[in-house]
Amino acid sequence: MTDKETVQLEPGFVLHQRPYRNTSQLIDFLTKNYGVITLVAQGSRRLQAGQRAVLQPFSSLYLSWVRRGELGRLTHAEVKPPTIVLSGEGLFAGFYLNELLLRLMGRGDPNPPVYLCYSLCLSDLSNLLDTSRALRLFELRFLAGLGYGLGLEQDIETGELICPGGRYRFKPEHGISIEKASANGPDIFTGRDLISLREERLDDEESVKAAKRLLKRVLRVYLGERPLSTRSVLKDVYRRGLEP
Amino acid sequence: MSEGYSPLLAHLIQALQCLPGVGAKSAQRMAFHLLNKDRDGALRLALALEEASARVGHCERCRMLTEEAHCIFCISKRRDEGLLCVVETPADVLAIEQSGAYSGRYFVLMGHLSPLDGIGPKELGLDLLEERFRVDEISEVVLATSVTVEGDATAHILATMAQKHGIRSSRIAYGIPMGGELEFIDGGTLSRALIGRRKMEVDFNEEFSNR
Repeated sequence: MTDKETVQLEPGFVLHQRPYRNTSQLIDFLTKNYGVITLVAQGSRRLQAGQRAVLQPFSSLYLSWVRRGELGRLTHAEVKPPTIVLSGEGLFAGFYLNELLLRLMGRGDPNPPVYLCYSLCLSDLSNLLDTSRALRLFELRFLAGLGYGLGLEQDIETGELICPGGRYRFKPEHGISIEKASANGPDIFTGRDLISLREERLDDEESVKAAKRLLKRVLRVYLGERPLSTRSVLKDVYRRGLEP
Repeated sequence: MSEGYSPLLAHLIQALQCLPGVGAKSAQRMAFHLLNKDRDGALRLALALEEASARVGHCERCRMLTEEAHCIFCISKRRDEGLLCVVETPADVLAIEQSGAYSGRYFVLMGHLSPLDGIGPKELGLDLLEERFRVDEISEVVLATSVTVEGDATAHILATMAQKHGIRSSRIAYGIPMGGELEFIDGGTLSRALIGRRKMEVDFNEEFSNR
């Protein structure tokens, strides 16, 4: 019943690979026009397979595949310049991005805005821009791309615009409401930081920190009970002397 | 698929398929060979499997597979104490041994970092490695993890750990294989080879000079 789908030279990234049968791999890709898909790369674990060098996480690729139903077969992969090389901290941030995508994006939902913000974030990371800021911008745009708005435009109770000097309580899936100037706590944010996040500025340490605290709360709602495995692994990595 | 086989035979064929590269067809061929032509071999195989799977564990110092407390590479007195080579699998140790270019000690991670699968420093035995960094007198760590994104991430952590203990670390070189022609090498490997190019030492011999 399902038709055969043949796709040629679709832009995409490798998100995750796992061994499949003896010499093959199952690879999750993020593609521009087909969303997250899983393809079999036959024989890609053999040493001589030139494909193996190409099929690495974070490298930008052109992919061709044939698919009938859920699981397709990769027929061709080539590097799409410019090549992205992540190292050190950027690498670990990249793993985090990939897990976030795999966890929150439905299979086969085309989402070009998410593809765009992912490639932007990877190039930020490879250009060694501030990792924390790059990750926050990605989280913000990614959530927006999935249709999860943060509701940082106006006070949900009074309907008034955010004023930079105010203090606000943030509730995931609801929005913000004004609080007393003396209010404090994990879900209280300054108007200034909220505006900085909403406008994708995040140009000082303070606002990046606030954004991390806020986005973490939002992501927890959508990720549910099961924590991200990259997060616990990275905690262990940082404990061993790598700077977070 | 087990039609026509007696229960024991079906069970054997099923069990043989846990081996890498062995599907239903090869498993059947193996089973028939063992039962028809080589019963002694079958018994020896069964005994060896039983003994090995019961007794072979990991070396307490380097995590290499061995049934003793320490593997032969850790016991040997003739190896360079100051060199420690970190690899992903026991097969890597043997590959490096065969190259004959290394004579230090080893440490086997039994995998590589894979954050998405929840495989982190703890799973790779880095606590034990850290202990060796602290106690042993190591002057250089050779990072021989595979040349993949995950292998690089693993090497990065190891290098950071070594630095913390004031130990020099080096990554095995990668690029063009022996006998490789540039024309047939993929772009990624070639760009790495160019980035990692090294100075060429030229030593002119008197014999060929004109004077």
